[in-house]
Amino acid sequence: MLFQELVSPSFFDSRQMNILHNRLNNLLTSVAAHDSEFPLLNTYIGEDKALVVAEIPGVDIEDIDLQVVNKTLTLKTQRSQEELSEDSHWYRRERAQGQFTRVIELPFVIDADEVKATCNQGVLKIELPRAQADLPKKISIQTA
Amino acid sequence: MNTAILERKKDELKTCESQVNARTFVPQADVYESQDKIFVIADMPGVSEDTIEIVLEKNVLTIEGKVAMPEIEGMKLVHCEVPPGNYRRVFMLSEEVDQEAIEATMKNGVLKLVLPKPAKAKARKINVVAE
Repeated sequence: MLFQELVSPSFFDSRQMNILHNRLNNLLTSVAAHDSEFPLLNTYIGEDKALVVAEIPGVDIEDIDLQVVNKTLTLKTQRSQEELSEDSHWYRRERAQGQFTRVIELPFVIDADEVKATCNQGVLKIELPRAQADLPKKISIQTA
Repeated sequence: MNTAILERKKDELKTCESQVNARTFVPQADVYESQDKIFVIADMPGVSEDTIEIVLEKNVLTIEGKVAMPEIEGMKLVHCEVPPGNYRRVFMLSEEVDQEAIEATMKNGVLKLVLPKPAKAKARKINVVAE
């Protein structure tokens, strides 16, 4: 993206260049949000679909609320607090607790009926296909 | 370019790629203690119970988990808050723990460890008998 134009492709082995290029882009786009945000998200975009991967350890599937409106995906989760008995005490509390909302805006309209979400080992994967009406259409040109 | 140099370049590429995936994160953890047990709860999303490794050496508890990165083809990572990497965290425990009796469970990407305190470390109540 950003560094594509800067380096001529013949300069390096193209595979090596791709790795460097991806690493630089990831470095620039990665958000150091490890303490403040929950859940953490990765977003992948393809031509006709997007994939959002969220880390939601310890969240029950019933506590996940997913909503899609046009280009926007809203993910609401909650994680309950562990109740301690009277004779126990905390040493360390780092895990975020409470209610969380994250909103992601995609560059295209989502087909809300075709959205698929799976959750495994605390990782939620949401597949968001692009709406048919939003796909680019090729227009054929007729000779007059 | 002769083949020897090509081979070496390939090797360099391989190490370069493995380094990308070799980052290590410290999982966020809660620790609490009851009268006879210590509980450690750690967030390790994406780690399966087969790839987790828990080692207790004297009073040093080490938790390690490997994450299998999903292979996504034909898509570009446009927003990244979770770079690829594995989890590792080391805890120092104040008392020695009964290593044989440690229980570990994994649910929804959360590791829960129950470390029972040995009998000698438990608080004992001494009854005073009147003579």
